[in-house]
Amino acid sequence: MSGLHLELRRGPLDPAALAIVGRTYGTIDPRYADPGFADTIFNRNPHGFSWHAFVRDGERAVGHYSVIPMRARGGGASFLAGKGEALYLDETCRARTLRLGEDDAPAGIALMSALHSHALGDGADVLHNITSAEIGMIQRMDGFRVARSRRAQAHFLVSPSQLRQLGGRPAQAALARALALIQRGALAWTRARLSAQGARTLACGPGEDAGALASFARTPPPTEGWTIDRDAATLRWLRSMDRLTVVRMERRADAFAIANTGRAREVLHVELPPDAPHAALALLASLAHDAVRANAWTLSVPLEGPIGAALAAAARMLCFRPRTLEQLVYVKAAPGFPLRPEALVYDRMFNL
Amino acid sequence: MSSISRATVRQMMQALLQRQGKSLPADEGVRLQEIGFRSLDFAELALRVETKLGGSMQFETSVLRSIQTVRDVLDFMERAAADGS
Repeated sequence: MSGLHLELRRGPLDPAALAIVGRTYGTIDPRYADPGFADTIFNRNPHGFSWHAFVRDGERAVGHYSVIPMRARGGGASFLAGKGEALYLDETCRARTLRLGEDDAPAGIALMSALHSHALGDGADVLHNITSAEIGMIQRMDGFRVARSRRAQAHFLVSPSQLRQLGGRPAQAALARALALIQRGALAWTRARLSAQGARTLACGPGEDAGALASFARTPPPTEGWTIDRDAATLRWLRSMDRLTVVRMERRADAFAIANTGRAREVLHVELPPDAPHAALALLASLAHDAVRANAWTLSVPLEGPIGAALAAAARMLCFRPRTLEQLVYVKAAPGFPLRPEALVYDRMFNL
Repeated sequence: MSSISRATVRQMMQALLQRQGKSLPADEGVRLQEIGFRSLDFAELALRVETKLGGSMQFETSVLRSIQTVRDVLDFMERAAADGS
């Protein structure tokens, strides 16, 4: 009764194929139900394509998975990474099998394994995935390794009730809610004070962010390991999907901060000229205010490196809470990849 | 890392299926799709086996590509547990 058929394809996808992604994975993540978003993320990335696997049950599309190419850098080299994304398999097909080479394998496993092999055989140097423990286990079975990134950060809690780590821990959840209230109060008081002092910020729209993105693109690569590149094309692509937000000081184009958008936000880059007093506090308060307005879950500041040095004092004033968080990333490299794939330097540029 | 018996893995697989109102037949030759054992069940079973073992299992892609029956699942877990110990 199998009847499931797997099709591997290198994009760009035509509108009909994008609509299939919308009808499948778009039911999980509504962004993908928007053909414009799907076109941008799959077809209009700096490489102009993504790798896709479609599963059909007869004529009916029942599954999709993609690997999106992203430029990465490390060890003095630039290479092509691929991010696993938009995995969907219809519930009615999850116990069925798919032909994989000479054998049959459970459909979900076959779907992912086949596309990983396809992408690695078609130019991808390394694949990376941020996913659940269950999907991660399937990836480990497919030869992925686990990269564990532990980072010291300071957090602003916007929606503590949404945080998985607090589920089933009522005492910690109550403390988090109390902390969120204190942080919200500190934010309101700080913004009022800054406004009275004339330290105002602006959100940069498209066309006003060239200087900030160029500064971000000049970020030196990690001295060890690899990370997602900050090249101009990647940054423009992320901006076109509203995955980056840029704020700057009013009347000061040279004082700005960049963060990712979405639920878990992080300050990714900051530029603070010495003659711009209050800029660190004003920019961080602005990003926190944006996170609140967007119903995000958290805003974090990395405490190590140049961003930490620039923003740690401001984070303390806004009652950000220091915390070390572990992030698991599943990675698999093509033969000949010059670095240890699990030696990645994680930040929110890995998330789409 | 400790070891785990085939019988224990089988019990864990049975418990996982029972939770979904399904049962694990005695015949190890039964195909997974006949008993409704999904890819995610396979992954969840592996996570439970790892928890029981107290360490990480090791996997070979070539083995992953021939998982069709209950026997294949038990063989796979047994081998991965042994490789990881």
